[in-house]
Amino acid sequence: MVDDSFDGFVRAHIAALDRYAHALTGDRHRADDLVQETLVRLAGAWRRVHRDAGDPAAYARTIMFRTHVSLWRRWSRRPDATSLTVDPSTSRDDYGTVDARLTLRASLGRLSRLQRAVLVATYLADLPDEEIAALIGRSEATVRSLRHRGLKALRADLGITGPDPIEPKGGSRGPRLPVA
Amino acid sequence: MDLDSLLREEFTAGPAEPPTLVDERIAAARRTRRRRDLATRAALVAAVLAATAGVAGIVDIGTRHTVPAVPSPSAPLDRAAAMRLAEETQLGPGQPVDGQFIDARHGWIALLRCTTPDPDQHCALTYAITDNAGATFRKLPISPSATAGEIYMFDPDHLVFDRWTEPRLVSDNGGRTWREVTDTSSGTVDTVPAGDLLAEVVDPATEDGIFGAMGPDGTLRRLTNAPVGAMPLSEPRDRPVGGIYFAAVGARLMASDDAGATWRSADVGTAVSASDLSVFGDAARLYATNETAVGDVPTLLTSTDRGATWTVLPWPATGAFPVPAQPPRTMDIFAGYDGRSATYLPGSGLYASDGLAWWRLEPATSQFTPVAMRPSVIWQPIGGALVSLGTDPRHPSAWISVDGTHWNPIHVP
Repeated sequence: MVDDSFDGFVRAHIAALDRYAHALTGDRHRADDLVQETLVRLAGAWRRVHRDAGDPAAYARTIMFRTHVSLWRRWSRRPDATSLTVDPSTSRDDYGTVDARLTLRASLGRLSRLQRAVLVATYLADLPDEEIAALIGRSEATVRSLRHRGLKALRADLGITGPDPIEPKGGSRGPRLPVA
Repeated sequence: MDLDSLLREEFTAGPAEPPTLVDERIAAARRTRRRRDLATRAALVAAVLAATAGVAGIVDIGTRHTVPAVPSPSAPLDRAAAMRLAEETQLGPGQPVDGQFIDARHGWIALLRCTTPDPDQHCALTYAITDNAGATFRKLPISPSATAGEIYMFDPDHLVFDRWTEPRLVSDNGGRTWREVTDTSSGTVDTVPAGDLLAEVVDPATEDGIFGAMGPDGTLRRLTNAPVGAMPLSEPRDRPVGGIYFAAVGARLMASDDAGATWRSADVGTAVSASDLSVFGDAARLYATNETAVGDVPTLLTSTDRGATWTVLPWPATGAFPVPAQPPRTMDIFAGYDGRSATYLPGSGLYASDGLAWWRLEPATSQFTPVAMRPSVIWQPIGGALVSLGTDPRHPSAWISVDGTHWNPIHVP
């Protein structure tokens, strides 16, 4: 029997929502805040989601992305949680992969909310640009620009040189990672 | 490792720990949602008051009087008065946001009192009870904070206050004193027993949602044959209408003629969702209307076959009610209206309003005829009663009536 209650949905999808929030924020406490805010908003819309025969998982993801973007100003005024900063010029050694991950994490933390949201939608949700544009309320051209600039910044921090790689084309990036 | 792979690994890694405290997070989300809904309704009231103050003109503030004149929908707005009301952010005793009358004399209301214009902050709910049709109210010694709850009023003496995730409170002396009940979940029941109410609550012991019967001692029993995913309607939440219990399963309306033992589908068409419906009336003729988002037009429905089929009842010709200028504060606000409302006053019939003028439905002809009603800048039907808000910009107050004729200012000490 399918449990289509709000409680049932949350229990089934909370791990995926946590993963999305973590990817978007890079911070455990902010991720918890983001998931909770998403649940509050989803609870308010639950009946309507069912009424419209919608996809609650997609709806939750939309809420989360938009909340994440809209919360940027509020969170930007808070003191930052302890962040790991790595100087790529001094930290590259035999543990290069670990260093790269740490550097990537720090670099992701410096991206704008929209840039990071686009990368998460691209690499975690594997969404096409059209859906990403709808998700964050921007045009497809803006999505491409945000991703290009975000990737460029990451490559610079990671010391990746050479010509720009071909930009990811959403929707054709291997296995899709659904919300749940 | 290339950047694509690094990003994919970073994002898919997720938090180090698996999700914990899931039930607590669900309960907290429900609690916050409820508080925001109430605050939003109060904010919309304030917005409408600010946009429309002065429309109704000045009326005498007295006690228990009838106002014969129907205000003109075309009356100009008094911007100065609007500003004063906007700064007030609160009407006299607070803004009624919820309530229910169980008969012509006994009922309760919830008032939201805010001390700042931001409805998310510094707002507190006050619950009050009346036994004389609103002539006087007695404040209930519960919920000193904005934490919301649902009151189940079994009779004038027996009340249960469901605090969502905390143990329920029970009173058997009209709300004068309350006690906490801890062991309240006790199995299943085939029908809602006489004296019990239909309820959907979160059992604080198990964190499970229970759709079933609640007794006046706070006991919860799951309804054996309730449809999966059943939820109470907007109104009535806990009582049958004309002997019929209604519930929403998503967009579908379900009805039970035998106190919840069996359920049948009730076709309200595709224009409305059952989960938005309020149903009222009696067994011979039922009415329903839906709660809509701001700016949407609600639908009015009627049924003469115990809810099996419904037809759309055209609204009376309406004036031009100023819809709140400010858009919903978040994308998922549920409560709201375009000024239109319908309510059923037992013994008096169905009333419909465009927010300014009022009509009463003549059952014999199914035609609406204009009726005089107390001037108001906004109306708030609560279960079995009408609340009129902001009748006088100089003395903003809230007035309540259970018959549409006699009015009392809401005064809660």
